[in-house]
Amino acid sequence: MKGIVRSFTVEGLNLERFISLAGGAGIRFVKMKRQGRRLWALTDEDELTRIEEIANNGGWRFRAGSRQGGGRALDVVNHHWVLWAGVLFFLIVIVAATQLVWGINIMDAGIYQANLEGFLMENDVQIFRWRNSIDLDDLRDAIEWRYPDIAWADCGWRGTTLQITLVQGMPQGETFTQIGSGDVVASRGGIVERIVTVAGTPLVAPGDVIQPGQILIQGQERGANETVTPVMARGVVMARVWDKAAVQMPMTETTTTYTGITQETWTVRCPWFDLWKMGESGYEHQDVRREQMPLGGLFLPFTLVMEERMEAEVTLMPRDVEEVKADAGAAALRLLQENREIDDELVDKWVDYCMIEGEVLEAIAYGERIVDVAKPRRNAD
Amino acid sequence: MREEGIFPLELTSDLPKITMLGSQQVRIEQHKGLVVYQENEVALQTSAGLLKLHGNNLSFAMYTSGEALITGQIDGISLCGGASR
Repeated sequence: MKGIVRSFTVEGLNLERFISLAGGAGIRFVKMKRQGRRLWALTDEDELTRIEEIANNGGWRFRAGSRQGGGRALDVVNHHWVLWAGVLFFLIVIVAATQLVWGINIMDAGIYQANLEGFLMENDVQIFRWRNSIDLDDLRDAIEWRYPDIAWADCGWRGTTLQITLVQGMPQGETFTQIGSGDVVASRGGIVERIVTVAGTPLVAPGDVIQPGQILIQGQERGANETVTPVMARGVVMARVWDKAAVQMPMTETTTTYTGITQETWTVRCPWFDLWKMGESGYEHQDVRREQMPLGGLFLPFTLVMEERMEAEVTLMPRDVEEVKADAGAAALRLLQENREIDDELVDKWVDYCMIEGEVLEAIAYGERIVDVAKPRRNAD
Repeated sequence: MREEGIFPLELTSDLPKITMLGSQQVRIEQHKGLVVYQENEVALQTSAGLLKLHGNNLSFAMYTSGEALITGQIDGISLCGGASR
């Protein structure tokens, strides 16, 4: 069937005769089904008038039904056109909104942050511009040209947000050469464990206590005829060093109990402001459960924010001393491990405790390890 | 003059063409009208006689003056001769 398909029912006696009459008139039926004295079928909507005429002439009761398939959708549109017009308008607004710039996110710009923001303003790269009016390749080239110290820039879209990322160039380190003269000094204090001198004259021996900056290997070598030759001192000085990390932990713990009084509030939030303020609860202490539900996803940055505020009472409870010591000691040792610059093995470790005014327990963790403290230092020419 | 052997018989005569697909579907071409339609029985007049179908839940997927497509559980089909021409 080419046109709109519509259902109908016919009731009465001798329905076979009705079918034969309608078929003889060139009418086509689809999905025809009989239940007792009732016949249900689909046909072209244009044929309904003729079918009704045949039914009325033969004494059958005719009743037109609803449209089927695409025709039914057309019916829905006809009966709810205001709703569909609204939906269509909403979709058009959504599509149009996705074509606008809703935010600009500058990442890792460092000292160029403010300057780059000004540069973007000067070049009219700002929110509420059409996205396709911004050429990302040109923008990236302009930024790289403006800031030659950066390694590179990256410009891209994340939803409706323009994301600009600058990758800072790494400053070149000082190149160590054998040209000239210099000493090896201690990078930190400790007790010398062993020393291997490659060039220069050692000034310390195993067992010596050394201070940071102290010369360990002097940058000169004495010849057979008492001549002194300046050299670039080199060597390895392994020393026993100590690290420490302190953690303070109160002897009381804060416990929170809910009073059972709650308050619920909500607002709609866009990236720049809230449509209305949620207001303060007035509770002295409270826990807040916040739920955020995006209303339009990345392309329409509105978020429904719901808050449930639960009034709470805060009380201080004394803790067991041994328990606090265990917690503080473990925390201090963990901090000691995290603070170490080089992940080498500790030779020894221990924790000292002290009580501060009976309210706070301080745990100081010490770690002992053996490291190379030799640090070359070039002499001024 | 009848040119048998050149044109298929179904084109040169008004005999019904009955195509059965398993026991679920029967297509009848060149019928002469519906005589009986019940849920368990359908009878169509043809030039070769009365074509009867027995079964359950019988319905017409399509019906025109010359063609009918019957679906449902078809248990039997018979053609009773002596039809009027």
